[in-house]
Amino acid sequence: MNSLIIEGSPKTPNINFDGNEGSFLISGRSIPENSLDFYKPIIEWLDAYISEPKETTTVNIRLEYFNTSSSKCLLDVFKKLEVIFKRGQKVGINWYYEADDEDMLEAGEDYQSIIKIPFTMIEEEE
Amino acid sequence: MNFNLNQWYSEKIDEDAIFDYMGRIEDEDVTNILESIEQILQDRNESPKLFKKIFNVLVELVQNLHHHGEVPSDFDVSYEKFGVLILRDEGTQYRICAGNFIKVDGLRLIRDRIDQINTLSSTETQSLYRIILGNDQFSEKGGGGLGMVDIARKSGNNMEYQFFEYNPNFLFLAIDVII
Repeated sequence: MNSLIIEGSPKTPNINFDGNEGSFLISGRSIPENSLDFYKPIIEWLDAYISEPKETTTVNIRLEYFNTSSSKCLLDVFKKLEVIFKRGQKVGINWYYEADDEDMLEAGEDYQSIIKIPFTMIEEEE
Repeated sequence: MNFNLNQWYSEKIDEDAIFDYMGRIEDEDVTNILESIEQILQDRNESPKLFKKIFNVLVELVQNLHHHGEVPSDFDVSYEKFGVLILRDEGTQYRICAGNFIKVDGLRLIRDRIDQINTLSSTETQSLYRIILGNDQFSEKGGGGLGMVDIARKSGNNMEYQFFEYNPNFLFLAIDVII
């Protein structure tokens, strides 16, 4: 399985999905006006990955900001991975947030309440 | 004409206003506005927690203007998205004012939406956010109605709003968010 790498910009996140290792990273900012356009190739890549996933998939989310239009797209990413989790593969999501950033912690808890994949909330020093 | 935009705008720009913008709201303008305000907040050494709250709310408000800021037919400009954004430091609080034109028939939907959100407690706002996020019903513009709920949730305060009659077809909507 190949990897998906998209370099970040002031409004879009870094994407580093290593298909060989099953290690996925989304970091930076996700505040584009049209998130659907940005996330479309990511969802398509995940469609291919979940047909032949690694035994363990680890997702690291290290976002500084994301807008509400991205929030639905992030949910779509998690829902794709939930498919393989429900098939019995190991999937985990590490949700990083800066100390004192309660809004980002709560955002992770929002997804945790909707998605069945185990979340680990990780507080980091600013 | 009942509403004078330039007069309304100039009255908002007093010594408390630390950023103001009135004009086109295309992609590049959204980027420039956000970069300018980020720089202003950095220069003021605002606390990271407050900085993030303000920036998050601004992103939603500016992108709302981008998606919904109409231009009335008698408005003499060459672009199609228009909005106003003012950031004020009122000492104990920041106030963000966002303004845009809407079609008259959109009044009830927006007014009911804001009124509904303003009646909710913080727990209810969180629940509503999760319901909308999980319900798969998103608009073509991608937000699915989450933006206003997110603004209320992050600011922790009721949104204040005013509608002004601009002409028989258009109203000017001004929303204030206090952080």
